[in-house]
Amino acid sequence: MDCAAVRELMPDLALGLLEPPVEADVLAHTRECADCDRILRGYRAVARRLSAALPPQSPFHLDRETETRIHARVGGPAHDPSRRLLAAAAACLLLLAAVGAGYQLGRFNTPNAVAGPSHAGTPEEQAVAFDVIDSSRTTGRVLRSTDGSAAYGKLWTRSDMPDVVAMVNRLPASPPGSEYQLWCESASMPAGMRKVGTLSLDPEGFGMIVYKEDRLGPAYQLIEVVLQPAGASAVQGRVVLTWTGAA
Amino acid sequence: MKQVDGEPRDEQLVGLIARGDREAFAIIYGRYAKRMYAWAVARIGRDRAEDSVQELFLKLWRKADTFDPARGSFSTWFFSVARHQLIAEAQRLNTQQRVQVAAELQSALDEMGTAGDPADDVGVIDEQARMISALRALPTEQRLAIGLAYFAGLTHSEIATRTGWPLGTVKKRIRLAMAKLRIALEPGSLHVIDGDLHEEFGGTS
Repeated sequence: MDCAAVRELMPDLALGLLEPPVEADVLAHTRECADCDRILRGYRAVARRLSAALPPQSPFHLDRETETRIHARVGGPAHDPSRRLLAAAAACLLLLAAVGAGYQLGRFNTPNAVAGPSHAGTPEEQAVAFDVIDSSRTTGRVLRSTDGSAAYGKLWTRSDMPDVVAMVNRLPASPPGSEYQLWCESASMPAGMRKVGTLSLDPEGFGMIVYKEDRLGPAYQLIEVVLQPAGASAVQGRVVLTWTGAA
Repeated sequence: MKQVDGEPRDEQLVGLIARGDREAFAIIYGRYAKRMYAWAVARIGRDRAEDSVQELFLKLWRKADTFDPARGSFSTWFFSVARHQLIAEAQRLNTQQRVQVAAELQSALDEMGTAGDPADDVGVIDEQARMISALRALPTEQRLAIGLAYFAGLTHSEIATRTGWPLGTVKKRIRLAMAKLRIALEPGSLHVIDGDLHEEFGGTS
């Protein structure tokens, strides 16, 4: 099969319209021909991106909620029991180590987040935190202290999960009538800062929040931990930890 | 893991899925779920699409070890599995349901490439905006051909039956449309002119 014949079939290949033997011939050619291989990559890129052309109201459009729901339903039975047990055991060990060091998990309050609070005590939610943090698809961000203190924070996301894990450590106790709040600004849907939740600290200044966004692998452009008047719903206090995507 | 363009290939991932790798499964799901859902909506309707997609991916999990990379790509194998399942499910629809599905499909095709004005939508990334613009620039027949093939998962023959176009015309329209979209999405490309296609198809119209 020469280049002209192969190139004529490439659009069909990218759309999955070729019979396997014909497809095999095309692929065999592209393995030997760099120019054709480059063009085929272009067609495959078109096929990958076509779904982006659907308006959100299209019945063809798979919204995030449905996508996540199907994945959860499929992913459940798909778990290998031994792996699941291993993950849960590892998560429990992680938490036991934290508790042993005098830590406690943060209380979660999420007026703006999609899902309700993640109660840290259940094995399933521990496994979520474990899954988010311990993966090759995890992205971590370090929140630095704004005043040079030893306090710091971390926030993890995974490209294939909507769940987010945020931790802070070595924060001083909040003064009476105030609290530490986590605020984020999305990178994909910038609409200003929004409050994610309130951090409850243990005596060591450690706290954790596990929450869920409405999209997989959420990206942020700004994350802050702010010392706020208790119950505040707008940023009016002092930023103590910060991370910015531009850094 | 051997990777192409920084991402693991489908064929590598399905091998891992056959050995129970949940993460590989999640990646494949991310790559194919949207398209499989569109296919299901087009063939059996939105009410049944979610369950169908769930069943399809469960089938992938259970049957990943039956995929033989020597016989073709994963996508072709998976699309074939999907088509068989959806055809079987569509055959169980009653007349009223079929009419409803056909109406949904027509409506969705009409809306294709109308996701707002990309230039005015802050949330639309550049790549998506270019795809929408490129789709809008296609002649109606070519856009319909792409829609039926990509979003509805119809084969050449099924598109010919549905539209009444000769089979050769179906193939030509799909190829021209895809070529224009590919050129439009190339880095640095601002618009598509028919002359760009001469290199690949030698004097197309």
